[in-house]
Amino acid sequence: MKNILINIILISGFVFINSCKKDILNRPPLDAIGESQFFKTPGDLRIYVNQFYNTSNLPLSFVLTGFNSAPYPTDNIAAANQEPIFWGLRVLDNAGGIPFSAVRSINYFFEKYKKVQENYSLNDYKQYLGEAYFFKAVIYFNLLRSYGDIPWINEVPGTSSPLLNKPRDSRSLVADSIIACLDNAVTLLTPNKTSGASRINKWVALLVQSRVALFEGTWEKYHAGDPFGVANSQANKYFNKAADAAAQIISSGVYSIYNTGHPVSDYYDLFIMRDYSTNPEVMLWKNYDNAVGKGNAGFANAPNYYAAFPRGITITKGLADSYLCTDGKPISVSPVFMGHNSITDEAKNRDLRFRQTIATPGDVWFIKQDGSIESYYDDLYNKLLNNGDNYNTPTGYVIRKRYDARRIYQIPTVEGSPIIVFRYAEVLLNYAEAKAELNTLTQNDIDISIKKLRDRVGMPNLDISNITADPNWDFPGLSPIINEIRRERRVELATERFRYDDIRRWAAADELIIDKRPKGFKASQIHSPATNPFAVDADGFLDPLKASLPNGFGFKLDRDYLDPIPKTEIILNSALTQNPGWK
Amino acid sequence: MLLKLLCNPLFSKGKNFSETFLAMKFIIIFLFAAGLQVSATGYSQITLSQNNVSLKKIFREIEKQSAYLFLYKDKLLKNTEDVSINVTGASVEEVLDACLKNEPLSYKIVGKIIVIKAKERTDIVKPAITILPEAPLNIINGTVKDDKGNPLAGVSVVIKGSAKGTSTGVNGSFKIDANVGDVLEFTIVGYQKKSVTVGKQTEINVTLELAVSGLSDIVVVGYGTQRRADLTGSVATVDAKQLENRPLPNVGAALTGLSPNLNISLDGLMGGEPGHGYDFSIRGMGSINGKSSPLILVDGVASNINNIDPQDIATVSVLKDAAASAIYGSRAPFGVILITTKKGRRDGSVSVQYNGEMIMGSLLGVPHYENSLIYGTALNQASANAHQPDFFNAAFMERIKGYINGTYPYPYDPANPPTSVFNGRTLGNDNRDYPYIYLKNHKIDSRHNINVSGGNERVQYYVSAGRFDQGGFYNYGYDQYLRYDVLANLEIKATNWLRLGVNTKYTNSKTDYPEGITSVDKNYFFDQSFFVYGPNTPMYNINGTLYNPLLNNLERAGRVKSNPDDLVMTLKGELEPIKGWKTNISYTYNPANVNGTDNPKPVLVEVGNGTIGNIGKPSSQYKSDFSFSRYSLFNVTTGYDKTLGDHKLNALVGYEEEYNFYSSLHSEGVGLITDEVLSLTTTIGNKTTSDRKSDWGTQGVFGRLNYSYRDKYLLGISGRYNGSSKFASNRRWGFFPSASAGYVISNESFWEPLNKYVNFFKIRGSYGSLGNQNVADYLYIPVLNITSEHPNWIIDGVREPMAGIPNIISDNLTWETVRTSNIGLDAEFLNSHLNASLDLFKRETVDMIGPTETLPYILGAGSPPTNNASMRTTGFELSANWHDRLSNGLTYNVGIILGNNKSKILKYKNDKGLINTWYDGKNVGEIWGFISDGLIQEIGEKMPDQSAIDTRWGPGDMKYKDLTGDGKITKGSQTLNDHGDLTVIGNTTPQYEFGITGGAQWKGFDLYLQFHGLLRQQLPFGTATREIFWGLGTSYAVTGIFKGSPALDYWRPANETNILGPNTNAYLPKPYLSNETQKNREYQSRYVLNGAYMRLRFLQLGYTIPQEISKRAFINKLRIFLAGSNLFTITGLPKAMDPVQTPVASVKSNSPGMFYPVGRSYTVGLSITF
Repeated sequence: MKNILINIILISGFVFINSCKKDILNRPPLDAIGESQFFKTPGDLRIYVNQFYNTSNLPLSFVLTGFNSAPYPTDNIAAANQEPIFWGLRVLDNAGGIPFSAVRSINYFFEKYKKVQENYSLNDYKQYLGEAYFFKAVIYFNLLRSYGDIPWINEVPGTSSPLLNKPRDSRSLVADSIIACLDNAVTLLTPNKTSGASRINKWVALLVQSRVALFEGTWEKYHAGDPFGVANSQANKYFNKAADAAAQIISSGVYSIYNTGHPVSDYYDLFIMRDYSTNPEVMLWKNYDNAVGKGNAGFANAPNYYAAFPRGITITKGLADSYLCTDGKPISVSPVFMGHNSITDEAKNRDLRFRQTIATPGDVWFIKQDGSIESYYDDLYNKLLNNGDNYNTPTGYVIRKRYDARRIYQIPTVEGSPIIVFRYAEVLLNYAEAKAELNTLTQNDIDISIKKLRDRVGMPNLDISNITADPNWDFPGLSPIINEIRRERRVELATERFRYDDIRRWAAADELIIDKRPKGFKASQIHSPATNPFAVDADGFLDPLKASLPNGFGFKLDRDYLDPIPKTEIILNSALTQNPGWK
Repeated sequence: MLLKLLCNPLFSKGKNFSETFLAMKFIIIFLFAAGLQVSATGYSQITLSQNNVSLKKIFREIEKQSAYLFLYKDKLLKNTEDVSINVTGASVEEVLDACLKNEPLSYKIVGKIIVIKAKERTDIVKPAITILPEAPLNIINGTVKDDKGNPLAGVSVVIKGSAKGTSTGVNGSFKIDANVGDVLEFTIVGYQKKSVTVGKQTEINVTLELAVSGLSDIVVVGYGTQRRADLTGSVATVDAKQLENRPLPNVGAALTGLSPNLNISLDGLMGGEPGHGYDFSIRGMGSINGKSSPLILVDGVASNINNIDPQDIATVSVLKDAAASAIYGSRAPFGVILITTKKGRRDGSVSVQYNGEMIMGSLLGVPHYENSLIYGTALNQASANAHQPDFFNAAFMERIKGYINGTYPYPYDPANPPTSVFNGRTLGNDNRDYPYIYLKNHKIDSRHNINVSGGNERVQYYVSAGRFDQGGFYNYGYDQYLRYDVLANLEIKATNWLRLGVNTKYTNSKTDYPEGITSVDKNYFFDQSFFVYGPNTPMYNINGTLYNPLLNNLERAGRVKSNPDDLVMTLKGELEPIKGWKTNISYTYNPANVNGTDNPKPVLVEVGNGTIGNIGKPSSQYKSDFSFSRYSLFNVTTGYDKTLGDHKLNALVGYEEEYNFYSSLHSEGVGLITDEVLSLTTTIGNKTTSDRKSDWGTQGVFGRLNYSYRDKYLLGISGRYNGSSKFASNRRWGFFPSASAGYVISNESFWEPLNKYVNFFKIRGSYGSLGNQNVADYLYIPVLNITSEHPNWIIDGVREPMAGIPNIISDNLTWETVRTSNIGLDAEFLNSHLNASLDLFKRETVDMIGPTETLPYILGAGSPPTNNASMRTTGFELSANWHDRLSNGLTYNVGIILGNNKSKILKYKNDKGLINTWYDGKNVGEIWGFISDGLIQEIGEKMPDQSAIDTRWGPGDMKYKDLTGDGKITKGSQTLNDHGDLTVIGNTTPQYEFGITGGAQWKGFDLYLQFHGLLRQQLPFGTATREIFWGLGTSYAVTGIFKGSPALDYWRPANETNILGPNTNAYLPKPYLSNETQKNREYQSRYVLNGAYMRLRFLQLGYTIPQEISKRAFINKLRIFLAGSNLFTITGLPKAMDPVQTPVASVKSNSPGMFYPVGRSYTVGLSITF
């Protein structure tokens, strides 16, 4: 028995020692890729940059994803719900965090991609490197627009890095760096047109470059002297860059305005297509495909479903009045303008984009599965104004642009409608505006830009030698041509989420926002005026926000052009200063 | 040979895990081989010629010449004499007959095995009666009295080892036929058992001693047992009597309220869902880094507590302080719950028991909707307050009214029907109490358990099988949990010095739930469903088809099913070669797998206007998940127990290693050909597959030394040196020691005069440190975040894979260390009628893992966790029990427990003192907010400048108190130095949890009741969306107006004409149907509710049929019982809220305050023992 015991103890001891000796505690991950195992092939770079394909870097031109989300309410769009920026409701305590994680992620790419150089030539991976430059530019452009001066970082800081306490860099340095990134992107990215639902190409980079340069150029020019201006404005440098970038796209001939010779419908049709692969105007679009998305929430997109009802979000009289008449003259002076008495009258003899942007009586509302049709006014306007949340129509001008009446494309979880991200029309508008700001705009420049947009809707060309004066120009202090180019931009890009940036960069809130309220159409045309819950102004136009904004928008000129830095960030980094006006 | 095998390179090359496993297998074989010797060869006729040789040698010869194998114990051959034999061509039987003729042995041939046995059994079970040639039958009379000399009625008198017995009558007398040598056992609840051996007397009078509270009870502690009186650590026990025969779904529900500071709470929003478990913690929050759950060991193995049938539990020990749990080192930073399952019997009898229960559940804590007229009126008012048009215009409101009083027949205007699955919410004028349509007010659960226990001194077994079927409350669709469990515990005394044991537990459970809505999970779906569709939403279309999309969804959106298997097998051996020296080796292997499936589908809903909408997926899908884990645990301990005069010594050392491997495979396919066949093969669209794998291991050596002198001075030291794979190699190992001491003052001679009042009095103290390894795997290795398919972007027609930046890694991450000091006192009073325990503790968690600090945004990432914070938890536990027996035979007991804990952050890297994160000195759970100063009643009323909160203020809005006196209400910079008018307005930590239990037995009746509650619990409502409280949210989609909630007590002007009327003296401020409403709903003192409560958790009445009657049906014991749970609650909360559920939902889960209800239940049960 003693032997047995000794044996047992020996065995136990053996197991014990044996176990200790082996490294049961060394357990590297079994299903994850460590840093050292990645960034070895161009494919790795591609996988890494794929994360930047998202809607904050590639903003959708039209967003209706939830019950209350909308194109950004501005002087173009009135929303019944409060809108903090223009209503002046923002308070410093509620300032959101500064989104900087994308900066870290993109810099990580630049820190790591060099490993690929050892085994591959630039040609093998230049597309992904180009994309990385492109995304670094757009990530910083987002920050520039919100915060102005912001530190430019090229490293991936550690938790004790002195970079964390870096003060701001000047906005011109940031803008120059963004533009330089885009220069790199342009040389690296493919010049192939591709389907537009593919990877970023050279032309998209140029478009963004013209957008950034124009933004910074106008910002420096029009904010000169206000708290948001820069000391040594180099506006013209940026205008030149913007014009150059746009000119490269134009002269390449790769893209053109979508024009099938149907001025009544081409503009409207452009926005409701199911596939933009072969569209000549669309430079990048976001594809939604249930089969590919497999029902994943990220691939549900239902703009038609949400746009089927106004839901309290409608176009303002200001935008509606911007449309020229078919004689090329503004409504203030045009003899063919039929007056405001009914929306049908308003639409008569107007730029055809009016009717393709704003719903008018007789427009198709629903095309049912069985092919039968319901029309606006026949139904919608009867129920209009305060008949449940869906019909809440504060101004009367219901958005028609980017609304597909076919009910089969209106089922929320199934819809998957594609959305345009970048289109060529913006290139033309950027080009004309930059040239105009440089004072070098020629009729030929107009002919290769604005004219293309007007041709599509059958409008007469803009003749720079003969611009009809409009007593209601938004910017009476600026030249007629600038006024008209801005009008063209407002009309062409209506509801595509450009307006807020335009107001900011033009420093235009004093002209467009301050003391103003969005107005609607003539209240007298409402079928049963007794049910109209909205206020009416002295001239008989709807004044839906009268009660909420008795003194007009509360936008603060010396504050609201930039977003606040959260108080805690200033505490954490004493080198950081607050944006003007925030306290 | 065995050693050689083990050392063979073939075996040592493999993974450590398999090696250990192999080694274990050999040990087990070896252990068997040590007890039973087996040898073998072929068949044939036997030829033998041997003189004076041992039997062993002859057996070997026979084996050589034949195909027979001998099976015998060495011991049996010890006392045999050598034999001589001379045969040729004889049969095996002939040879054996000859050889064993004069030996004390017999044989038996079973197949090819010859078993050698003793001729006459000398087993210990053999009763002494065999000594006597003839056992005379005695008729024995007697009486049973208590210690005061009062006769005891109802005492069970049973002859040990038989089913024969009787019980005493009213005067304590009994009469029984017994043989001399029989042992009579006298038992009755509340008294110590007494055994008397029958001699030649005819009268046996017995006095039963009152049962003491169990100072001599053996308490299960880490890797061993201790006598209760000797404990120096803080160990609470719950014994089986408190759990037996109670209709409880799981162990969590069973243990709630039975041990102070063992906090068991609902685990998230779905807490009451069938199959849902509980959240456990001991002594409150121990770490800011995730959960601080105790280690739960079932028979020494970390187990899923939900898989245990409460019926199988023999004992539960709760180890609370470091002295008790240091032996588990970093496995158990926050205490240990040790559960031991039942074992077999040694007395030779067999008992078969059946328990069955039917449990009827009903809703509890689910609020009703206010009707749609009130709903519409309130919405309109909030909408008007926000300067928006009426939400429902006048004509609409007329329809609502008309529908309610029966004058309007349709649930919506037929001329303006809903056009989508959602807009019925704004177009319907129905009136439905949806919470009670989604849920039904009754459900049925059933539980069955059958177990057999038996055995003798050599072999004991307990085998149990259970089935638990738990229904759910869904009214449309259904949900269900079904569990089967089997448990077998077998112990064999192989030799005098060796015991072997096998424990097997197998559980198979099934959950079957409806899907949530597309792209939101079930939790979200559940709590949103209570308000997302208002009472006005049409339930049916005018043509009678079901419209409410949630109901359609519940019924038809597909099912989420899960079917886990869990098998725990433990082999163990106990060697005791020398009395007092025990070595235990045990190996556990726990394979577990889960098969989950999910088939979301389109849910086509007919919409009022005749079109079809979809609230489900765009296309049908089938998802299948397989995962398995393999956990192995090996441990060996050796301990020595010795008493030398006044000195008692107990020492133990051990080694333990754990390894866990997890792997899962996920596959999904789109486009099922038919919903009737659910498989990947029958999907026609895209398919994707992904997997997950991980593993971890730990190793530790540990030891314990207990010493006591004259049972007066007690000393204990224990510790563990532990390593975990979860940390970088240089930070892997830690040492966790503890020391404790006790002093039994009542054993001192000077205590003598006090003895009749306080018969036992012990003080004890302990100090020790433990580690916390409960962190995510691989925290120290930077890994890229790979997603196989882009979540929202299609590039060139495909979803490409994408990778994200690794998290910032801290390379010096290591244990959190938990140091506990504990002072305790155990006392028994009045001859142990009353016992009480008090513990005071302080627990400091140092090197706590927290983010380095809040860093400037430029970092662009969350700060990595490092060991840089510390916190302290202090508290106390008190428990007391009184039990007595009245002269009329009524025994009763009353127990009370009370515990409290509170935690404070001692150190946290937050140099700036930001108050919205942890900071030095922060009390865990504290709520920062404004002091409310009433509602504004008049325009121009004197009030501070509140423009930093919002620019618009008027009558009905909130006034906040200006604490700084600067005339402005601000939040400052939200730092400790500058927090403006914010101050601490409360604390959400539940405080002073108590439980009261009571029991009584009288003439076969038994009564049990349990109260449970909290003396203090503060619930803040400070954000716009807590529908259960505020009712009106920022839009109709986040509005739910419930009966019994404060929602309608909001400010209305004095001239208000709507049906709700004026309400200037309101509790809630003016609501706005827009974001403006948030200005009035800052966290503030006025809306911190008191969630203290007391609930009758349990009431049970049972009756045991007298044995004389049940015997006739061959039933030893038959008990029937009725029970109710959660029968009533006393609380100050609004009626719509439940003090148990609402805090979890609104404070812990940050939801609107809704909850899958736990419900109230009524049970009928039956327990039969044969």
